Amino acid sequence: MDRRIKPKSLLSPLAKQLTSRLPGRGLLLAGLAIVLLFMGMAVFAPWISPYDPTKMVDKPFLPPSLKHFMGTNRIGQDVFSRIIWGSRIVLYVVFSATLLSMAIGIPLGLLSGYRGGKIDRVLSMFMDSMYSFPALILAIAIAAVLGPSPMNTAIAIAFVYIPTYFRMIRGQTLSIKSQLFIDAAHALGIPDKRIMLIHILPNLAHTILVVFSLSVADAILTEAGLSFLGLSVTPPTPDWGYDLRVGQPFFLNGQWWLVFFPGLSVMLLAMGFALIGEALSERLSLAQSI
Amino acid sequence: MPRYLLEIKDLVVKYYALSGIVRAVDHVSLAVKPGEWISVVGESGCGKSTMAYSIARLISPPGKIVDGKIVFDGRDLLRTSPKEFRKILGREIGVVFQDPMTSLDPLRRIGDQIAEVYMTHLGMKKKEAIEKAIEVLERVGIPRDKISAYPHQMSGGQRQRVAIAIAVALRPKLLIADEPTTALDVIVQDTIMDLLQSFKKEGTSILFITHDLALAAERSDRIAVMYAGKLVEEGPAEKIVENPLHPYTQGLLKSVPDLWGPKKIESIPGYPPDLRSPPPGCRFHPRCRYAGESCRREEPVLRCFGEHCVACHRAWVK
Amino acid sequence: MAKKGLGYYIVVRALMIIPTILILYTIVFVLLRILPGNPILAVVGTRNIPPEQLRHLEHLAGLDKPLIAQYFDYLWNVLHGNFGVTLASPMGVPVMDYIATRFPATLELAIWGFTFSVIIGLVTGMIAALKRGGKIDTTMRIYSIVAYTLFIPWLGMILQYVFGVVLGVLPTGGRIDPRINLQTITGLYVLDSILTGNLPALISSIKHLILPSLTLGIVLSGAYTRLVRNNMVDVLSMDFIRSYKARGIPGYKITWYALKNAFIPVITLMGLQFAILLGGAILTETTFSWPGMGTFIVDRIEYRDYNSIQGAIIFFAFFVAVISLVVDVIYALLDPRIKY
Ligand SMILES: Nc1ncnc2c1ncn2[C@@H]1O[C@H](COP(=O)(O)OP(=O)(O)O)[C@@H](O)[C@H]1O
Ligand SMILES: [Mg+2]
Repeated sequence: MDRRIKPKSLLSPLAKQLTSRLPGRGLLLAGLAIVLLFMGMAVFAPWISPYDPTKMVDKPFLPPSLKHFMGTNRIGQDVFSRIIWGSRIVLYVVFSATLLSMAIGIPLGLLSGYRGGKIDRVLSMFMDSMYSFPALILAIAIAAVLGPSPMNTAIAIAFVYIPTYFRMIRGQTLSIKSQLFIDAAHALGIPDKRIMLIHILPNLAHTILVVFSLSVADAILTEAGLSFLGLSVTPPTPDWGYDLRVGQPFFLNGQWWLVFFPGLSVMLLAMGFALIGEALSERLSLAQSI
Repeated sequence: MPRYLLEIKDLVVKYYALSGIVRAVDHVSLAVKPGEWISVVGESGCGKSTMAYSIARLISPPGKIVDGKIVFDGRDLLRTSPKEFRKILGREIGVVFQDPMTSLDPLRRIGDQIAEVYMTHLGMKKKEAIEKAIEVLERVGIPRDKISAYPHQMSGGQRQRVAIAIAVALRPKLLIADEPTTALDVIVQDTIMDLLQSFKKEGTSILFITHDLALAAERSDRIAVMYAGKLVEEGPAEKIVENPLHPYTQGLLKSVPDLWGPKKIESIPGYPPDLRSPPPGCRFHPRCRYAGESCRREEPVLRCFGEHCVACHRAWVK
Repeated sequence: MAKKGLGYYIVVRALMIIPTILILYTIVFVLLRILPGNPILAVVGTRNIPPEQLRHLEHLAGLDKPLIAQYFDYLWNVLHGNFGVTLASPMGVPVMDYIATRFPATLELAIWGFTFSVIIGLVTGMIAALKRGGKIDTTMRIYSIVAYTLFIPWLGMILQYVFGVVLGVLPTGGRIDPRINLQTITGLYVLDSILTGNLPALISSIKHLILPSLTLGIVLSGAYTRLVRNNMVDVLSMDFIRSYKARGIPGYKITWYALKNAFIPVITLMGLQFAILLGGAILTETTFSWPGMGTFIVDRIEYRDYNSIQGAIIFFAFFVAVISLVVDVIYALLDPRIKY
C-alpha cells in the first residue's frame, strides 16, 4: 500500500500532456513555445542582446530599423535590448514571488485541510479575507513601504498569491482526505506528516501545475503593473512596465515603438503561461470527469 | 377519420459519437391509432427514448435521423418547416420526460411556465393564460395556490404532475411520456399512471415508454417491445402478456417483480449489446437460449399473425 | 421561505462582513507597521530633522503611542469616518477629504467598466455557447485568454492613440472638460449632469468615461466570456431546455431562459471580479490621468505619505466587503432556490 510517487512521475502529467492527442494540445504547445522563447531570451540575454540596454547607443527616437529592430527610446537606448534584458527582471521577480507564495501557501493549505478544526477555521478566514481584496492594491501598498527593488517587488507579489495556493491546496486536500486510502494509511499507523507529504501532496501535483501556470500569468501582469507605477525597479534597469510608463507621452506623439513592444511582451509572456494553464486545466477536468 | 394518428415508417436514427456510430434506432415501424395507449418496452439503452424524441424532432447532434418517415395526422413531420412544426409540437403533441426534478425551469414560477404554452400557441394574454393554467393545474390534482410556487418547492410527484399539465394543457392528440414514473416512488407512480389514463379516456393517444413490462401491461391497449434498436414484438397487450412470442419478451415477463417483493425471480442473463457494433443475425441471439444457426447468421424480419407481430426465427418452434 | 425573510438575511449577511473587515484592517495595519523603516523618516527623506518636529509628526500620525493603542485608536477613528491626516504635501489634511472627492471618480469608472465587462462577457460567451464546437467558439475562447492577459496601460494607450490622437474623437485624459462648470452632488459626474440638467457636462463626462471604462471592461470581460460560455453550454444540455423545445417555445425565448440560468453562477464571480476591477482601475486611472483613488495612492507613494496610503487601503477594504454583501443579496434575489 505504498503509494510513494517517484520524482519522475511528478512531471509525467506534463510529459504525457505533450504527447497525447487530447483536445487543447495546440494551446499547450503554443503556450510552451512562447514561454520557452522568453526564457531563452532571459537566459541568453548577454549573448543575443545587440547593445547594452542601459547605455545611450544611438540617437534618440529612431524608429525600428535593421540596426535597431525596435527603435531607440528618448535617451537613445536600444529598445530591443531593453526588451531582452527586461525579460530577465520579469521572470526573476515572478518566479521568486511564485516560489515564495507556494512555499508558504502549500504547507499551510495542506495543514489546514488535513487537520481541520480551529487552525483551519482561523487560517481560512484570514486567507479568504485576503483573497477577496484587490491583489494589485495590496501589492502596491507593500511595495510602496518596502521601496523599489526587484526582490521587494517579489515579496509584495508573493504575499498576495499566498491565498490562491492556500485555498486550492486546502480544497483538494479535503477531497483527497475523504478518500479511502488515506483512512487505510491512518489505520496502518502512518504518521500524519508522512501521509501529507507522501500520500496527499503527490496527488496534488497536477493541480499545482495548473494553478502555478495561471498564477504566474497573473503575477506577470501584477509585476508589470507595479513597475508601471514606478514601484519595481529604479532606472536605468531595463523593465517593461517602467518603459511603457515613460514612453506614454511619446507614444501619443507617434513614437509607437516605445510603448508597443514592451506592452506586447507583457501580454505575450502572460499569455504563454495562461495558455499552458488553460490547456492543463481542461485536461484535468477531463481526467476527473472520466 | 384516418386509421392511424401516427405512423412511423422504417425509422433509422444514429448517433455519430466520437467513439463510433451508434445505431440507436434501426428500421423501426410503429403506428398509433387515435385514442389508443401504446407502450414501448425494453431494457435501458434499447433506443426507446431516441425513437420517441424523433417524433418530436428533439434529436440533436451528434444524433441524426438518417432515414424513415413519420406521418402525424396526415402530415409528414420530418418534412414540415421548423415554424410549422413549432405549431404542432406542444399543441398537438405533448411530451413528458423522465426526470421531473430537472424538466422544469428552476428560475420561473410554475404558473408562468404553464401559462406560457397558452400564450405561445393560442396568443392569450397573461391574465387569461394564468387562469387557464390554474384550471389545468387543478385538473392534474394540484391545489391552485401552487400556481406561484417555484419547482424546488414541490415534490417529485407534484413536479411530474406540473410537467403533465403543461404537456396536456392544449389537449394534444398525442402524448409522449418517456418513463414518466421511473424517477418516482411506487405509490406516486400509480397516481401518475391514473392521471395519464384519465387523459386517454378524454381521447388523447398515449405513447408510453417504459422498461417495466408489468407497468405497461396494466394500462396499455398495445405493447411494442424494442431490443437493441429493433422492434422485436408488437401486439395487443393481453396477447403479449399471455402469449409472448419473442424470447426477449418472455424474459422480460419473467423478470417481472414477484407479488411478495421487488425481487426479480428470473432475469435475462447478460446485457443488451453495444449499439456501435451489434451482433450479426438476430441481435438477441447471444442471450437467447433457443438460439440456433440461423439466428447467428440471418436477421429475422417482423412477421405478423393477425395483430400480433414478432421478429424471431424460432417464434413457432417453442 | 418567502421574500419577507430578505431583511433578516441582509442583516445577518451584513454582520458577517465585520470579521472580514477586521481581518483586512489587521493585515494592513500589521503590514504597514512591521515593515522596516520609520514612516516619518521616509516622508522627510534622509535629511536630519529637528527632534521636536519628528515628534510632532509622529504625534500627528499617532505613532507616539504603543502599537496596541494605535491599533484600537485607528480602528475607532476609522469607524467614525476618520482615516487620519496626510503626512506630506500638504500636511495635516484629513485623508477622508481626499477620499470624498477621489472615491466617486473611481466608483464611476468602476461602474462603467464593470458594466462594459459584463455586457461584453455575456454577449461573447453566449455566442460561443450557441455556436459551440465551431470556429466562432474557438475565436471567443482565444478572445477570453487574450483579453485576460492584455496589459491595461498598453490597451489604454492604444485606445488613446487610435480614438484620441488619430481619429481625435475622444479625450485621452481627465473626467470632464475643465471649461465646463458642473455642480457636484454625488461626485458621479454623469449622474450629477443628469440631476442638474447640464447637457454639455453630460456629453463631456460620458466622452471622458468611454475610453478608460472600455479599457477596464475589455480586460475584465475575458473571465465572463469563458464562464458564461461554459455555464451556457451546461444549461443548454439540461432537461428543462429540451422541455421548452417540446412545448414549441420559440428559440429566442429558450435562449433567453438559458441565459438567465447561465447567469446565476456568474453573479458569484462578480464580487471577485469587482475587486480585481478596482486593482485594474489604479492602472487605468494612471494611464488616463483620472483623478480617482488610484492616482491618489500613486501620488501619495511619491511622498511616502503612508498615513494616506493606509487610509485609502482600509477604505477599499470596506468597499470590497460591501460589494460582496451586495452581490450576495442580488444572488439571493435572483435565485429562488436560495433560502434565507
Ligand atoms: N447523445 C448521444 N450520443 C451518443 N450515443 C447516444 C446518445 N444518446 C443516446 N445514445 C445511445 O443510443 C442508444 C439508445 O439510447 P436511448 O434512446 O436513450 O435508449 P433508451 O431510452 O431505450 O434507454 C444507447 O445505446 C445510447 O448509448
Ligand atoms: Mg430512455
